Amino acid sequence: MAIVLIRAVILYIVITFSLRLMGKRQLGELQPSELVVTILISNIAAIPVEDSSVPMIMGIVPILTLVCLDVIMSGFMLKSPRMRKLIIGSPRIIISEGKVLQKEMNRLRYTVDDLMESMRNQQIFDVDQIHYAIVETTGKINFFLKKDFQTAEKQDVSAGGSTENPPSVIIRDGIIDNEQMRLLGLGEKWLTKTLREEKISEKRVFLMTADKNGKYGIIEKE
Amino acid sequence: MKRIVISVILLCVVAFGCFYSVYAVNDITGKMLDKIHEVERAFEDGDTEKSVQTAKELSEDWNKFIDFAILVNDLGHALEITSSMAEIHSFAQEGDDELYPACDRAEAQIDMFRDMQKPTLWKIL
Repeated sequence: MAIVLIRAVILYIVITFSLRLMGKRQLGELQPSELVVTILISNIAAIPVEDSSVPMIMGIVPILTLVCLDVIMSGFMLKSPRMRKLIIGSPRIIISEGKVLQKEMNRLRYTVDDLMESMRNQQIFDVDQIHYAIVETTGKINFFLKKDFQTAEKQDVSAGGSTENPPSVIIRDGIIDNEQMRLLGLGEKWLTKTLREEKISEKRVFLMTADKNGKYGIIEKE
Repeated sequence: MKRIVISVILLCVVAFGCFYSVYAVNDITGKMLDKIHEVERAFEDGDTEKSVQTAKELSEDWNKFIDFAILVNDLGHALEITSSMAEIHSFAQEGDDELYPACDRAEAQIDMFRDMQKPTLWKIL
């Protein structure tokens, strides 16, 4: 059993490294080729763990090969739009100017139920509200609503206000995030001064957030 | 870009390792076959000492190779060859005529093992 344990640990490291190499895409946003690689990896990795007569290298070599090919392919796709179109396809319009393009839906093998489900997921309950619907290469449908049904934005109602900077975490669990401090442009002096004003040491801070304007929030450790 | 470079390097290393293993198996099995013939010849000539010594070397060389043969196909088959090598050594020591069929068996196994590594079309498909 020790062999199985060691194999599982090694494969865990290899797969984690491989998926890290593949990049940060969420599962729902996987392109077809990435989905294939992910499924294959899980299957290939299971074999040497389950069967100790199969050498582990028989799992590692195909995993590394698939991941490397996927990354190299994505590099090609980055440079060549034609390659990208060939491998992952292109977005398709299924509702154009309020008209459902049934031929396109048939070609994509999308049913009315698929369309309605995607609409409901985005809080749209009437197909008449849609101006454009686009099927992305991931299979997700994005909708562009008719003007009357679009949500009013600040500029539509002439509301003022400047763009605010989102706050970032600068201390988590007593540890200063120097990278965030640098990005925010807040110096060490500012932090020391603020903590002194709040009469708290950095070690006692559970969470501290701040924005570029120096507006901050502190939660003390319990 | 860094990922792509790492991937290209990794893929090259893996590909080199895999194809090199085919070459290494081809090379070592060639030498093994020559040594088996040597054992047979020495045994035929009645030179027991030489046949025992060569059979011992044969077994040791094979074991050395198998310890590092991480990129070979069909490791089970390789282990069968290990036992055949041990048999040859044992028959040579005993001066038993069973050495000839044992050598023939080992040759056939080595030939098959070598063939198993070559990426021919029918094996790939």
